[in-house]
Amino acid sequence: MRYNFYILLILAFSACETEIQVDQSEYKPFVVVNSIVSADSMWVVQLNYSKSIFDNSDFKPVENASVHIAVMADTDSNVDEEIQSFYLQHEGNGRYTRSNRPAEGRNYQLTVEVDEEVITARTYVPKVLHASAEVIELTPDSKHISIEVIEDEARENFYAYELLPIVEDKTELDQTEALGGGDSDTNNDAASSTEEANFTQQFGKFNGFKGAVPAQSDQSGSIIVDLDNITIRSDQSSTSTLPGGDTSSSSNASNKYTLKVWAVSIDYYNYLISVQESSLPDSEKTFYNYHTNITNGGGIFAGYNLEEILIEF
Amino acid sequence: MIRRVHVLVCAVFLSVNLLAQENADLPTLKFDSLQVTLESAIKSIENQSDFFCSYNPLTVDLSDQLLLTRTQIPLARLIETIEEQLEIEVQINQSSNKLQFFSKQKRIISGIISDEASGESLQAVAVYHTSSSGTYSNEEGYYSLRITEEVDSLFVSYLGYKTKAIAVQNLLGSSLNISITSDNELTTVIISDTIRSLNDLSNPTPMDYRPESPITGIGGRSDLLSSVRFIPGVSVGSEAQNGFTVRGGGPDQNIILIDGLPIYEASHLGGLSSIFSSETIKHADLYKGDIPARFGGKLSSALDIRLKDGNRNTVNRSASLNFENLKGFIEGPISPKTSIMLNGRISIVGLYANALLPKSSGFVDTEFSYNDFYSKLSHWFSPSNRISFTVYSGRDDIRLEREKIDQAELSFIDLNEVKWKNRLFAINYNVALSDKVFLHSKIGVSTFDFDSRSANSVTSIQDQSNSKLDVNAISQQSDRIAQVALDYFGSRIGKFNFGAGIINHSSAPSILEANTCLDPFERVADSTYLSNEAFCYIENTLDLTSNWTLKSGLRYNYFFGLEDVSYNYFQPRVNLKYSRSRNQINFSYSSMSQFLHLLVNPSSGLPSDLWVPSTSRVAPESSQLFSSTYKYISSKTWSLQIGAFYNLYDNLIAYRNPYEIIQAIVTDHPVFNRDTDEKNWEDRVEIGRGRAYGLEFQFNYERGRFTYLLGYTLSRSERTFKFYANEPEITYPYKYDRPHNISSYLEYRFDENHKLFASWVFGNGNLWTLAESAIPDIEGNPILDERGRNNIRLSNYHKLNLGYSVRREQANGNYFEYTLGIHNAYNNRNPFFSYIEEQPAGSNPPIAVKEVSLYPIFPQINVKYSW
Repeated sequence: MRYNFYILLILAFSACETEIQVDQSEYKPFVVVNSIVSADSMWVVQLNYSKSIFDNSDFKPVENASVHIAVMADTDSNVDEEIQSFYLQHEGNGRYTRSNRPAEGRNYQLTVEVDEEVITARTYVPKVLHASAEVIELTPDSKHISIEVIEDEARENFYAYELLPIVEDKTELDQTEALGGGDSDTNNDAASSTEEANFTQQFGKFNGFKGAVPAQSDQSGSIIVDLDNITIRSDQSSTSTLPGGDTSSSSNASNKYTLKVWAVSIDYYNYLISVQESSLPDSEKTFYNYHTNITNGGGIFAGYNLEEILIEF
Repeated sequence: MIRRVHVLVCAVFLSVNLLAQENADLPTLKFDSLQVTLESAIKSIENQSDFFCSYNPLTVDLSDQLLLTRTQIPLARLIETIEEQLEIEVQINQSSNKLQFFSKQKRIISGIISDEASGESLQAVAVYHTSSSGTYSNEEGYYSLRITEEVDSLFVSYLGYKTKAIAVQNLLGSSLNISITSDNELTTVIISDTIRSLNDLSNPTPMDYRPESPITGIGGRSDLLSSVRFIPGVSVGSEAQNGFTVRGGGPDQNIILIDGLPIYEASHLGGLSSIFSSETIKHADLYKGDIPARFGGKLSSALDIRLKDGNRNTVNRSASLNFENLKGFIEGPISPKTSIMLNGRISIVGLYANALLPKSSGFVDTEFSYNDFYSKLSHWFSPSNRISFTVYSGRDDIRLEREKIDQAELSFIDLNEVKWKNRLFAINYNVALSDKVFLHSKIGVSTFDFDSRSANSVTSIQDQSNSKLDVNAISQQSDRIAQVALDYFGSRIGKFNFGAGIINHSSAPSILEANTCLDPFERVADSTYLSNEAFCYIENTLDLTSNWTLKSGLRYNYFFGLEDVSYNYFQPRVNLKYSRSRNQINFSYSSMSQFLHLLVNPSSGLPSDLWVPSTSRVAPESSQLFSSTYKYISSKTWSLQIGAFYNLYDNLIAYRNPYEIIQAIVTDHPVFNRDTDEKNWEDRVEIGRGRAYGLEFQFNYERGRFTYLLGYTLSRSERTFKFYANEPEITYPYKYDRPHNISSYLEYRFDENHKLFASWVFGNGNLWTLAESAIPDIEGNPILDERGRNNIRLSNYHKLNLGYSVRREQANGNYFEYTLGIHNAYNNRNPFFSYIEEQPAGSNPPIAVKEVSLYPIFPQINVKYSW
C-alpha cells in the first residue's frame, strides 16, 4: 500500500523523474516549546528552534530566552488574573528549569520572549488522580479492566492509560528502564550526552506516552479497557498481547502488570489523540503531526497527574 | 464588504432599467403654443438643438398634430410625446446627432436559422437591418425581430458563413426560416471573441468553439478542452490535469453542460483526452465573467455545450484511428422530420500498454481503457417545434496490479484501480409559442460514479501468514433535473429570458478501509445525502442607447431537504457594455453559489476527491466575480483585448490537516473512514474564503492564409483559513495559483486541404503542500510541523506542439484526413505530480523532492475517413 498510484502509473510507462531544488534560503526558524508538567516534577521547559526539513543537523537550542510562568487566579480558565509569577533559569542546551513544582488544579500561563518574539501557551495541571482498577472476566477468553476514577466535577476530565508488564528478569528490567528513563540517576547519566537524552531525562516518567491510550470516562466515572484489543509494550522493539488475548510473544511476560493512569489537560489529551492518529499501520511511518497549543510557535505545553496501579491476572 | 457589494448590485439591477430610458444630455426646446404639427416640431428640433432629423415623407405624415403639456419641453419628453400620440418611432443616434423618424407600423419576423447543408440550427447568428438594430438567434436557432414596414431587407451574419441579405418587404406573414451557407474560404477562428461585422450589437457568446478547431489534444485530433485552455484566464498547470481552471477558481467550480445537463468528469484517463468528441459538438460557449443568470450551481464559469441534432439532409459517416482511440460517427435523417446522430469511441491504449511494461516491474495485470457513446435523436413537429433525446455514456478504467517477492521472504501484491462512469439522459422540448415567445423545457438525469481502490496484501512465504489492507474511495453523484424557460422577444425594453426548475441531488461519498480484501458488493457507499435545489431566474438584454448595452439578470436559488437546513441565495448578474466604432468596453458582475463541494485530496496520492453536499455546518460556497474588458478591433485582420478581474470566494472548504493526506504518499492512509469510526468528513474540514485577481491580454491576428493567437494572463489566487483555534488565520496561495500563463497558436493554410500549425503554452506549475519545518517532539525526535500550505511549486509547464493536416478528397466527395504532428517537440519534462522521498540515513538533505513527468516527445498521427 505504500506505493502511490501515480508512481505505479509512471513506473508502468517508464516516465521521467527529476529531483527539484526547493529554495530554503528564506526559511525562518520559529521557537518550539516542549514542556509536560505535573505536581510531582519540577518546572522544566525545553526550547529549540525549528529547522528546515532539508536540514539534517541537530535542532538548535534557544539560549537567550526569557521564560516566564504565571499562575492564574482561578481554576476556571476564563478568569485571567495572575496571582503569582516567576522566571525559569537557563541550565544550558535550551533547558529552562525552576526547582518548585506546579500545583494541582491550577492554570498556568507560559510566556517566552526571545528575538523580539513572544510565544505563549496555557495549560491546566489536573488534580491528583484517585483511581482504582478491577479486572472483569467476561468469558474465559475475554477480560476487561474497569478503572474507577473520582472525577473533578467542575470541569471536563481527560485521561490516558497504559498497561506495562512487570518483567521478572532483572537484566531485562534494567534495559527497559534505561530505554524509558525511569527514576534511575544512573540511567539518566548514561543518556545525558545527547539531545535526545535530555528529553528522556526530562520526560523519563513518560516512557510510555506514545503508547498511552487517550480516553474519557463514561457517565459513571469508569474507563473500560478492552483487553481483547489492547496491545502493550514491553520494550521498544517487541509487543505482546495481554493474557486473554490470542498470543503472547514476550517470553518475559508474567501475570503482573503496571497500569498507568494519567489525568491529563485537554491539550495533552489532544496531543495524545494526534499521536494516536499519526500512528500508521506499519513501521515505515515517516511523518507525524502532533497537536500544538503554542501560540506563535510550535510544540506542546501540557499538564498531567499520574497514578500507577498493580494489576494481577 | 461582500454583502454591501451584493446589495449595491441588486439596487443597480432594479433601478437601471427604470433609468435607462432617461437621457439627461438632451436639450430643452421652446414652443409658442401647446398644439403644433409634426413638421413644426421637427423644425424646432433642428433650430434649437444640434440634431438633424431624417424621415421618409411617404410614410411619415408631417401634418399630424401634437398636443404638448407645456411650452418648454425637454427633447426626450418631446420624443416620447411624438411616439405616444403618433404612429411614429424615433431613433436617436447621439454619436451622429441624428434623429430618425419611422412609421410605427411595425411587424415581427421570426423563424429558425440553420445551416443549409446539414439543416442544423445555428446559435448566436446575428440578424439585423441596420448596424444598430438587430438580434441574435437563441440556442435553438430561433430569432424574433421587430422591424418597421419600411425595412426592405434583413442581413444574416455568422462567423464562417457567407453573410446573407434577405428581402422581406414582400414577405407574407411573420415566419421566415433562414438557411445560410458555410464559407469555406473563410478561416475558422478557433476561439476568442468572434470578430463580427455587427460589432455594436452585444455579443452573446464570450467564446465560440467550433469542432473544426485545429488545436489538438494529445492524440492529434481536435479537442474542446484543449481549445478552451487557450482562452486568457483559463489555464492548466500540469500534465494530464483533469478539467481546467478559470480565473483563480478550482476545476470543480466550472459547470459543464451537455444539452443543458451537468456532467462531473470531463476527461478520460486522468486528462489524456476530454470526453468531448469534436464531431458531435454543434456549439460550445464558455462564460467566465458575465455569466448569464440561467447558469448556476458553480462558482467560476459555465461551459455550455450543444450537441449536433444530426444532419437532416444527408447521411454522413466518419471513422478515425490514432494512437489513443478508435472512433466511429454517423448522422443523418431517419425521416423528413427526424434525424439521428451517433458517435462512439473506444480506447486502444490497453492493447499495447502491456507490451510496453518492463518485465522487471512485476506488473501482472493492467487495464487502461475508456469508451464513450453519444446519441441524439431529434424530431421536428414543425421548424420551430422540436423534441430531442440525448444520451451520453462514458466509462474509464485504470488498473495496475503488481506482484513482488522480497528476498524470498515476503510476497507483495499491490492493486491500484480508478474507475469512473458518466451517464446522462436528457429530453429537450422547444417550441415557438408565438412570434415573440419561445419555450425551452428539459428533463433529465446525470450520474457520476467514481471508485478508486488501493488494496495491498503481504504474505510470508515461510508460514503463509497474511496481512491485507483495502482502501476504497467512492463518490456517487446523481442529479435529476426539470426546467422550463421562456425567451420573450416582444418587449420594448429588450429581450427577456425567464426560467425555473428544480434539481434533485443524490450524493454518496465514502472512504472504506478494511483489513481484508473487500468484495465488490461490500464496496458501496455507506450513506446517501439527498438534497434539492430549486431555482428561478430572469435575464434582460437592453440597448440603452446605440452605444450602451445592458445585460442584467437575477437568479434565486433555494437549497433544501438535507438535515432540515435550507439556504437562500439571490444572485444578481450585470454586464454593461459600451461600443463605439472599433472600441468595446464592458463591466460585469456575477454573484454565484455552489451547493456541492468537492473534497479535494491535496496530495498526489491515490485520487480520492469526493463530492459532498452543503450541510448545516458546511454552507454553500459563494463567489462575487467582478471583471472588465476593453477590446479594440482594428479591422478584420486583428483585435486586441485587455481584461481585469477580481473574484471573491466565501464558504470554501479545505482539509484541516493536509498531512493526513500527505501520509498517503507513503502509505495510502485513508482520508477518513465512514465505515469504521466516527470521523465524518465534516469533522475534517475547515471553512474559509478566497480571492483571485489578475489581468488578461489577448491578441488575434488573421490575414490571408495566416492566423495567430496570443494570450497572456497575470493573476494570483489565494485562500484564507483559520485551521487551529490557537493560531491566527492564514492566507496562502491556492493550489491552482498560476501567476503567469501564456498561450499562443500559429496556423498557415497552404490551401483548403493543407495546413501547418503550431501551439506553445506556458504556465507556472501547480502548488502542493509540504511541511517545510521539522520540530523536535517531546522525546527530541524530529517531526514535521503542520503549518505549511501549498508551499512547493512544481516546475513551470511549457510545451510546443507541431502539426500538419492534409485532406485528400475523392471524386465521390469522400475524403481522408491525416493529421501528423509532434507532441512536446522540444521534450520538456512537464510536471505531472511530485512526491517526497526519504534519503538514506546521514544524507544531506535528508529528504528529496522528486518530480515526475508523463508525456515526453512523441509523434501524433490521426487518420480519419469520412464518407
